[in-house]
Amino acid sequence: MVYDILGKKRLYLDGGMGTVLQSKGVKLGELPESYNYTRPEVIEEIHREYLEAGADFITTNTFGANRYKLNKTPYTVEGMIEKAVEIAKEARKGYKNRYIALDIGSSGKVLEPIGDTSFEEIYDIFKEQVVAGAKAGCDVILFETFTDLYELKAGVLAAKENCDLPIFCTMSFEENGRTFFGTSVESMILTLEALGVAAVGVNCSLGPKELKPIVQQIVEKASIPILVQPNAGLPVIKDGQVHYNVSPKEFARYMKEFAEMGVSLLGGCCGTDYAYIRETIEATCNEPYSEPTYKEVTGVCSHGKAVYFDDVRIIGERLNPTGKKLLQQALRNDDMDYILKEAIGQEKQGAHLLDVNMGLPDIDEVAMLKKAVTEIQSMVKLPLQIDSSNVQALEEATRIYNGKPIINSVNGKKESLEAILPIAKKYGACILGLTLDERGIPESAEERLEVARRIVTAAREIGIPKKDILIDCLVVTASAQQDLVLETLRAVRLVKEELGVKTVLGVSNVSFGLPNRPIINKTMLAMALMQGLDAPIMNPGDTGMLETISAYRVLTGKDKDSKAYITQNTQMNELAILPNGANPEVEKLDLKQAIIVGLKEEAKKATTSKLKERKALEIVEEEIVPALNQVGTLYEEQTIFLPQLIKSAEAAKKAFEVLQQAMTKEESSIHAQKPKVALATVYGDIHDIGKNIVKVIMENYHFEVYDLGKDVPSEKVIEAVKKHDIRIVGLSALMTTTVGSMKETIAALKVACPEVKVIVGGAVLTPDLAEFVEADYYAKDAMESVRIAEKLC
Amino acid sequence: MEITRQMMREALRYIGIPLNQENEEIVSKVDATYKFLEKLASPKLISKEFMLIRQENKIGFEGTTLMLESKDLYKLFMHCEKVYILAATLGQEVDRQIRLKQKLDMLDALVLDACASVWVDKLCDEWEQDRIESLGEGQFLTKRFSPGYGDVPLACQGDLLAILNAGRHIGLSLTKTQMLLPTKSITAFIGISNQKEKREKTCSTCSLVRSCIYRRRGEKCGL
Repeated sequence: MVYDILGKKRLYLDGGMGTVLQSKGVKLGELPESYNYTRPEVIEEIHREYLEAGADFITTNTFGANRYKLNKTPYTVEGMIEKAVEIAKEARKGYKNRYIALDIGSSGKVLEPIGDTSFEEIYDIFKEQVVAGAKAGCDVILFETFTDLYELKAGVLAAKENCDLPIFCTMSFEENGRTFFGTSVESMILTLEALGVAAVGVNCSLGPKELKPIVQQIVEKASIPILVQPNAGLPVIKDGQVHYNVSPKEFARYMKEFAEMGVSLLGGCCGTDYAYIRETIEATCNEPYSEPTYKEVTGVCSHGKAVYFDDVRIIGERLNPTGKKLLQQALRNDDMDYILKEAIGQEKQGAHLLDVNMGLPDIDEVAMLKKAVTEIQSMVKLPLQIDSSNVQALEEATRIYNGKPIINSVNGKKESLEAILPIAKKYGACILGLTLDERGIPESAEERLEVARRIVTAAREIGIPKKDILIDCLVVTASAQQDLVLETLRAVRLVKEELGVKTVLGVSNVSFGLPNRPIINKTMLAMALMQGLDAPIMNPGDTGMLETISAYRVLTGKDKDSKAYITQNTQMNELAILPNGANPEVEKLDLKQAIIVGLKEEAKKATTSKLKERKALEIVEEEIVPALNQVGTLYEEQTIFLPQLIKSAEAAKKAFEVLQQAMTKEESSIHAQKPKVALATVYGDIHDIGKNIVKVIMENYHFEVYDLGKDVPSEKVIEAVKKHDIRIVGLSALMTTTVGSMKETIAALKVACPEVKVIVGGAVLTPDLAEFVEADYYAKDAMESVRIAEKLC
Repeated sequence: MEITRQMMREALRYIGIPLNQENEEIVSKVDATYKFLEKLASPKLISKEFMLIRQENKIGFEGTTLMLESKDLYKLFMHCEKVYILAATLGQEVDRQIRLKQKLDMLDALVLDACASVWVDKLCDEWEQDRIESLGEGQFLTKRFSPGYGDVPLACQGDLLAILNAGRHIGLSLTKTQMLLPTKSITAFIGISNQKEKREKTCSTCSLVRSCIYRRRGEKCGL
């Protein structure tokens, strides 16, 4: 069994397969796996060379044996993998204690929302490979040369859920310490360790010399066995052929250094052959071996950013619809832009993590939470805390999360522990435990500690390490339960001291019902920090609380030499000087002028000052609409061009934002009566900037835009049209190849919703093509879309 | 990085400003955006040289399994024995920033998108210039030709990436509809000719000249 020896002694993998096969005649563009059928003796010989050199593991010739790559060939995935494992078994005959690793490379597809392949589809692709490999009798699943942590997570889950074999994972990094997808070494380790893989490491892309700093980083962070398979140096092109510049002896010298650093599994990648492995084994077999060391560090991550709880960490609270009218509205309208802006805003303000809660009684929370998590992750680098009282929503969102999140939350109730802890364990997440149980929130600190202890014990019993548990001792409101505020604070200290886990508090809950809440909030925060609070859940836009944290970091020595504090405060003073120095001429611009010229900040200021004397709707009718009409005309006359049109639109948008908040209920309901339009970039097309420009302009002209995104299948368009009772649909396509998809979408739409009118546009569209796809209208640009839609209302 | 007049002109054209109609404000915005892009992008280019194989009306590349039926390539490589296949990209972060800017300020996004398109082209231009300087006497480069241009099928993108191992070397992938990811990327063929080639990009040499939709609108495809 691999598990019996893994981590206990130094083990060796084999070297390159692809480059060796090329030297044996495989052509570029030819499927290397086809040799399993056409020349199995060549593959067997390569395996035997590695075994003879002393490799403990040989890797099957199945790097690209997935459905995407095999579907144009006569081979099936199952057949190919069975054949490859058979060859490896044949080669292994006569050797003792040697293992077969099922080689799985990247699928070559990119996951949504950046690419066009769903998480579950990629999962199925890998599942097919894993199942075939396990059935054929391999000993280890090896995912290698991945650059997208998200894709790798799908693979690891497919392996975890469909076989019991140990999982090895390697990713390929550039010299800057990141993969092409921006995955960092820290994120790779946090995510994969939490998912429970058996070994983690790095392969390909660089030679051993260049990999050294990356290996160093892995050694510092990883608690599990580390696997390193470098290329034989950097590729050099000689006579049109790729060569690698490091000799077996030199390679082995570096590998010896890796062994000394604490790497458990050594092997090679592109450009290496059996000679490299033989030299590596010779150079390292007598070196003393040390087992991997456990790192007791609490950390979470997105694919590109790790956050460790070794300092105060701010968890942004604003993506929670409770008590937030605008966010509730956005959720009901599927308005992802609003959610994304909130996320981006909190990142800018200095949040370290974002709590994401999409719970509203009248929406599909499961779907919304998944969508929000995916979209936010494609835009914002911060790790997320997935927050829901709906178990299914928590599970599905945690499953498709890219990285290692926190699950908010589990509590001391038996039912909660049984439902939530397995989700955290399976998908590799930290958990946030609330100190309440069947009795509610216990009053005394000691009782809350008891609940926390129960949560920690239950979590550890199912294999969640202590470092992945955070406890929230629950803030009560001072206005209602004044006596209990101190109990919460005491509980934080007790939990910290007795259980040694990290603590979280939703600090601002304390001030509900009291005037001047910021004062109470920042004082509570200071008190909680002194009790050992690690991560407040708070509004990162609350300056008072931010100041408290930066002062706390100075006074406790976390901010060495007060550097951060000094920088922040000098910057603040400089900023404070700005308003006086601002251009007085610009300041005086009225709203109409500000929109026509396209100045966002001025439009905002002018709107605010106008609101002192006039009603919101009057401002819309008498200032904004005339300004936008003028801009539209100027654009149509070609006095101004697209950039100015957009600039004015952005300024008007700012004005609308100010007005929205000032509107009375009655005004809001009048203002909300807008004609509805759905916009989508058609299925197969991923270029959506044109469609998004149309959106910005149409919103300004008082349309309610339902943005369905890019690469949108016709069913989704139909679903949105029916759900929101939409009469106008705008479709865009950029490539000639996706015009066909546009035609299909329109045909399906006309059958399902015959009353809908379709406007088409996009780089490749012409009036002729619009006719060909049977659209009702062709719009050459955003302004024309507005004009056509206005006529249709 | 030096921002050439050509780069400025191209970016302005992409964002919809006709020739000589730009104002100082937009020029300085384009300028600043190029500088921002320089910090953001991780430009990468990979190329390989192949002996050309001609078979009836097909073009092949020695040592590979790729065979293309294309009159345009056949004509383009009329005087070539060798060709390059190349792929270039600005990387994922540029895409992410374009997405991000679209949420914050559409004009910033539009300009960044345009500058990135120009820059990835420039990356290939610079590589060509480099090649031209290293070519022997009597050797010339043809113009660059990408899948999707003329009669070269977009469907060969996958083969190009496989031949260059572009996924592994520079991080390129394809969508199911053969679009490159990251989006600011280029794949292309380019021949080494024994005659001085017309390298200007014109419609007169394109086989789609009759049916071209860009041309009908009075625009260009970007060739």
